[in-house]
Amino acid sequence: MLTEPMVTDRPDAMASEQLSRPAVLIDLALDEDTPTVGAEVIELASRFGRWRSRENSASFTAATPELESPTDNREGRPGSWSERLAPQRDPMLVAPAPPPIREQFVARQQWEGYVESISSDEFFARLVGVIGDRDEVSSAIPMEDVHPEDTDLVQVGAVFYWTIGYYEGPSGRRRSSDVRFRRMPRWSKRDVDRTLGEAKLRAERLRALTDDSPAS
Amino acid sequence: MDSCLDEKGLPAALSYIDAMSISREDVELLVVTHWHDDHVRGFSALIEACPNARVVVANALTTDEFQTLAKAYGRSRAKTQQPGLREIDRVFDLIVSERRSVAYAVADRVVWTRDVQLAGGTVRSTLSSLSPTDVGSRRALLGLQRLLPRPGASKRRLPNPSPNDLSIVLWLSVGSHRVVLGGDLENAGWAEILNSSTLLDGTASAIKVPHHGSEGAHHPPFWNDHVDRSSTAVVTPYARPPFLPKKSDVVRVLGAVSNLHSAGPTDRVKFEPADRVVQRTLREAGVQLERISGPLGQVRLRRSIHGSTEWAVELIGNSTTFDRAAGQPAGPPGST
Repeated sequence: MLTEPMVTDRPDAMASEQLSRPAVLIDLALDEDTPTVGAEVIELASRFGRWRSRENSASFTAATPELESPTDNREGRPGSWSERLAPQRDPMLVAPAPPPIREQFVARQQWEGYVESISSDEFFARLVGVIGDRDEVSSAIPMEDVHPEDTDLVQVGAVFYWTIGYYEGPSGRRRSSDVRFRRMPRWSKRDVDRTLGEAKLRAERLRALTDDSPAS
Repeated sequence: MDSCLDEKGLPAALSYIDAMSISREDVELLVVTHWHDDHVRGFSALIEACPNARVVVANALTTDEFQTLAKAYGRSRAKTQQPGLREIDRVFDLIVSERRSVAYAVADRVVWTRDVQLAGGTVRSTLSSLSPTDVGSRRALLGLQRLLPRPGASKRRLPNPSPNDLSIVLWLSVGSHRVVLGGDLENAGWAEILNSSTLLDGTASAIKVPHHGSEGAHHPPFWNDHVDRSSTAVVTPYARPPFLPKKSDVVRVLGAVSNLHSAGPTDRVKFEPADRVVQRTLREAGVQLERISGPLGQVRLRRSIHGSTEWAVELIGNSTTFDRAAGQPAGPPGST
């Protein structure tokens, strides 16, 4: 018999809920009495994941919502499981993870900004409102407000988005302030060549229009 | 000369012309001293609105190097990406598509002249560019070459190059009166003007202070030789770091002229978003926002061609006068 299995008593409900979520790897170790139960477990597990048997254990991974046919011991014929599986102790069936608590982010203000200058623990930026107030403002922004993944992007001229809002969920509201730097695209040779060509042409046209005589 | 936007998002010069009941068709000259965004916003709209105006640009802006910069960075859709280059790119597109009359500004070039018949005789007026000098232009273009797009380089925003060697400085002569409009030219450029100009005659009785009053744009030999000590000066504030003019700048300029006025408030204007969540978040982070461009004002100087040597000063909107002793604005912004 399985010892301490964690199996939902609502397999149908779980199956429908869990289809769209990745679940955890289930390592199913069975003892000699398992075949009968194993069949039920296999049936349960096969509803929402990929069933794979290995040498000493059967493992179930519900990594995708699609169901795959388990191995040929799917029917769980009595005895067939135990023929394949060595008895082990501490069988464990981990049910798929419960659905995450859903939070919704509400942006109350967003600025697009660029870095004008940098000091040791802050940078000065010019900001243009994208969401909320649209005024053009400037500010010193603490370095600690920059997302850790973006600290190497803080350079003069760098463009960033500063979003202030809150997450709203079952446990209430929590405010959030996030500075994310934009990874600017890079010039391709084709872009550069095209720009140079257009610039040269316009420069020629401008020079052709020049009138040096003073207006009178 | 130059352009900024008023509270309605319109070129301030256009609003002023309309308020003065001056016909837009009568505007003869539009000068863009350089391409920085605090000097050029709305300039393309000015060109469109004034169909008979000749556009004056620095010679160096028509080179392949600068045109490449304008094309490369003027097309970005990011809100903060080079508004100055975006506007100047639009200006050049407009000039070419409408085949507008354009004049190069270089050192010692007369860009406009007019003889007016008055009761006392003919009064000649000329407007001359004193810069960019050829030395300054070469220096600036060498600096710009480092900023040109290269394959693999990031398309990040360009910093405004400094010093500003490409700014146009104008010298206005009307009869015996002189006015200098200093643009954003900085120190080396003024030295080059003094060394090479043949058009600098006499001393100015009014000056638009160069580069928002910054120390780096104050060249004492030029002020000593060509700005009258009894002159009237006007400065335009720069409302973001390094926030100009500083008090020391005001004190320095007031030491060289009779009176100094600002076209807008020089105090840093705090800004608080309307949203309370945002307010609380900023407060907890210790972040203070400041408005980039404060409410506009104008300083109007008028005088008669003959007679009195004094300029009549009118402060309009949020313009202000500096107190000589305090180096601070004399009072709240006033209007007449």
